[in-house]
Amino acid sequence: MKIGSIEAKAGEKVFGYFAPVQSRGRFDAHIPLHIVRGAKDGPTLVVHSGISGLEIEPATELPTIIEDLDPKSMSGTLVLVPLLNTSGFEFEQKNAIWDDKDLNTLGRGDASGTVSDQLIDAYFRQAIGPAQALLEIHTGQRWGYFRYAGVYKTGATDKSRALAAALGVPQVVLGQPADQSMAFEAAKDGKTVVSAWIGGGPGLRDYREQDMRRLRLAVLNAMRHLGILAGKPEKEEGPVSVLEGHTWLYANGQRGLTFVAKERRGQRVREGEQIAYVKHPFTGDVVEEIKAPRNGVLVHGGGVWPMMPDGVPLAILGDLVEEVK
Amino acid sequence: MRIGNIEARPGSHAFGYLEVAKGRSGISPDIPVHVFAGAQPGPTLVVQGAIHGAEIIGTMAILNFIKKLDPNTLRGNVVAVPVVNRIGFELQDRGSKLDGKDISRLFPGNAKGSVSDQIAYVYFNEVIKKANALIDYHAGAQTAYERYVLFTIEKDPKNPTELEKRRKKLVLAFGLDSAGFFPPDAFGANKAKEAIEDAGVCAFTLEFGGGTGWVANGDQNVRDAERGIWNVMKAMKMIDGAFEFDQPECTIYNANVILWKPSVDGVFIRERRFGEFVKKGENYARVQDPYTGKVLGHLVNTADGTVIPSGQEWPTMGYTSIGILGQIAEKVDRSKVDLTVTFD
Repeated sequence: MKIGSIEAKAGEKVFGYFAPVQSRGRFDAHIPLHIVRGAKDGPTLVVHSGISGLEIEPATELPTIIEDLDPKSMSGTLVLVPLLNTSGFEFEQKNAIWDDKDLNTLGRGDASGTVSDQLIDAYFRQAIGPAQALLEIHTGQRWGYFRYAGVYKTGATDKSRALAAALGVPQVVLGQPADQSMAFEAAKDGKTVVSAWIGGGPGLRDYREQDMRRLRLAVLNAMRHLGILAGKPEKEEGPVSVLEGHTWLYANGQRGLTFVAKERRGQRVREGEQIAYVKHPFTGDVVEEIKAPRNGVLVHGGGVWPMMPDGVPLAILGDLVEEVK
Repeated sequence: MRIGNIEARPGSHAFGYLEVAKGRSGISPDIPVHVFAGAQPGPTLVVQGAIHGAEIIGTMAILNFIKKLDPNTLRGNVVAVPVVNRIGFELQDRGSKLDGKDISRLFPGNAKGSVSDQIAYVYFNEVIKKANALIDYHAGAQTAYERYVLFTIEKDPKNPTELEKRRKKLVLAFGLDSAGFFPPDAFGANKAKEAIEDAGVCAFTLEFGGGTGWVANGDQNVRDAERGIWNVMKAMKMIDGAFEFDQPECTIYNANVILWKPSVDGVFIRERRFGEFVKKGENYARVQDPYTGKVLGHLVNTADGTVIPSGQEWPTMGYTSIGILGQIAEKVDRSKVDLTVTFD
C-alpha cells in the first residue's frame, strides 16, 4: 500500500509525512501517517484524529497503539493519522494556518483550491479512497466533552452502526446530521464510517486516563470488528445504548455564560425540562432558558465550558432503540 | 458610596459601567460594577473577577453572590466586579487585544498611556483605592486547574505589618485547604501588587478552578468560590455567621519551585498529581512526539517539593509556568485562630 511516498509492504509498519502541497512560504502542508499492513490481505481501516488543531488529546495515545501492533498477525491494513491538522496544532487554533480553513468543512477537498483544499483532496483520494472503513475521532476541544459514536444516515448505515456499537463507547447515536466533513463524503461513497466523539478539555483533569483507554479500545475494537485483528471486540464498560438522535440544541444567540446540565447526560429528560441556560455575564440575570423540545435521552456529548463558541451543540437528544450487551 | 458615575445610598444596590477609556474604533471597555452600600457603616470589600479575561470561575461566583447579598443587613460596602477585563473576556484572552497588555500588571495605571494603562488608572483610583480588602479571582482558564489562595509573603515574617497580619487572616478565612506564596520576584518584579499594598489595601488572589476540571468539579468550585466571599465578609464583621471551610486545617506552601516549558516541544502529559511529593531530578511530566508517540524529553523537577494544587493539563504548553511545587511552610488549625479583622 502506498500513500504519497509512504509505502508499506505486506507485514510492514511504516511512518512518514504525506506532503502533497506547499504553502507560499514553502512550508510542507503535511499529514503524519502510519501504515501498518498485515501479512495477510483484508480490509483497510483509516483512523484519523486532530482535524481541528485543538482536538489534540488523541495524539498522546493513538501513536502508542502502533507500537503494540504486530503486522504479521494482521489481516488487512490500518492507516492511522494521530493529528491531521498539524499547522493548527502548531499555532493552537482550530483551523489550518495556511488559509484559515476548517478542515472538517472541506468535504473531499479541491485540487484547484487553496492549500487546505489541495491537502484534503490528495488525502481523501489517496488515503480514504482505497479504504473500506473510516473511524474519524473528534474531541470536545477546549469547551466540550463527549463519550459517543455517531453514525450518519447515509451510505452503509447498517455496517457503520455495527462498527460503532463495537467500539466500546457507552452510546451510539444514529442519524448524525449531514455535514461537510470527509467522514460524510466517505459515508456517501458507501464506506463504513463512524465519527467517534471521545473526551475534551473540560474532562481532562479527571477523565484523561479513562478517555485515553476508550480511544485505544475503540481503535483496537474497530480492527477486531473488521477482522484486521483476531478476536472479538472487548468491552470495559456496560451495555452500549444505541439512540436514534432527533434533536441537536444550540444557544439562540444570547451571549453570556452558558450553563449546561452536564450531570444529566446519559439520563432521560422530559419535554419542557430545562437543560441549559444563559446568564448575563455582568448582572447574573438568566437571559435564556433552553428546554428539551421533546422527550429523549441526553447524549454524553456537547459543550460544557460556559464560554463556548457558536455552533457547539449544548445538548443532543435521542430515543433509545437498542441496548447492546 | 460612589464609584465613578455609580452611586449607592446606604441600604441599596446600584449597578453600572465605570467609564474607563476608548479604543481607536470608539469601543468602550467600560467596567461593570455593582455597588452595595450597607445600611450600617463598616469596611469596604472589593471582589473582582476576570482581570485575566478567560479566568471566569470568580465571575460565576460573583454573579451568584450578588443575587443573594442584601445591603440592608450589610455593615460597610461591597464593590463586586464580575469582569474587569471585558475585551479579554469577549475574546477569551488573558490580556487585552486593544494594546496587548495585562491590566493586572499595570496598577497604579497611567492616565496618559494606552487603553489598558488608562483602564488600570481609573480602576485603581475609583475602585481599588477605596477598598480595605480586595479578593482578586484568577483561575486556570481553559488549560489548567487550580485550588489555592495566593498571597504575598510578609517582608519580615517575624515582624509583620498590620496589613500583613490582616491579610493572612483573610487568606485563612477564605476557607480553602491550601494557600501559598511565591518567593519575591519569582515571576519578575510586580509593581502592581506593590502599588495596591502601598495604597493600604489588604489584597489576595484566588487561583481557583479552571477549564480542565470543569466537568467533574466546576459546580463545586463556583460554590466554594462564592463561599469564600461570605467567609471574608464574616471575618471583616460585615455580616454575621459561622465560617464554612474545606476543613479546619489550612496548609500554607512556600511555592519556590516553578517549572517552565522544557526545551523540547510536542504534546505534554503531566505525570504528577496534587499533593504528590517529587524529588529533585524526578520527572514531573513527559513530552511526546504527537505523531509517533516517541518520548522526546521530560519536564524534570528542579528541587524537592510537593505539587501545589495548580498546573497545566492541556497538552500544549505556553510560556507561562507549567507546574508549581513547594515546601509546606505552615499548617494552621483555623479552629484555634481568631480570624476576625478590624480596619481603622
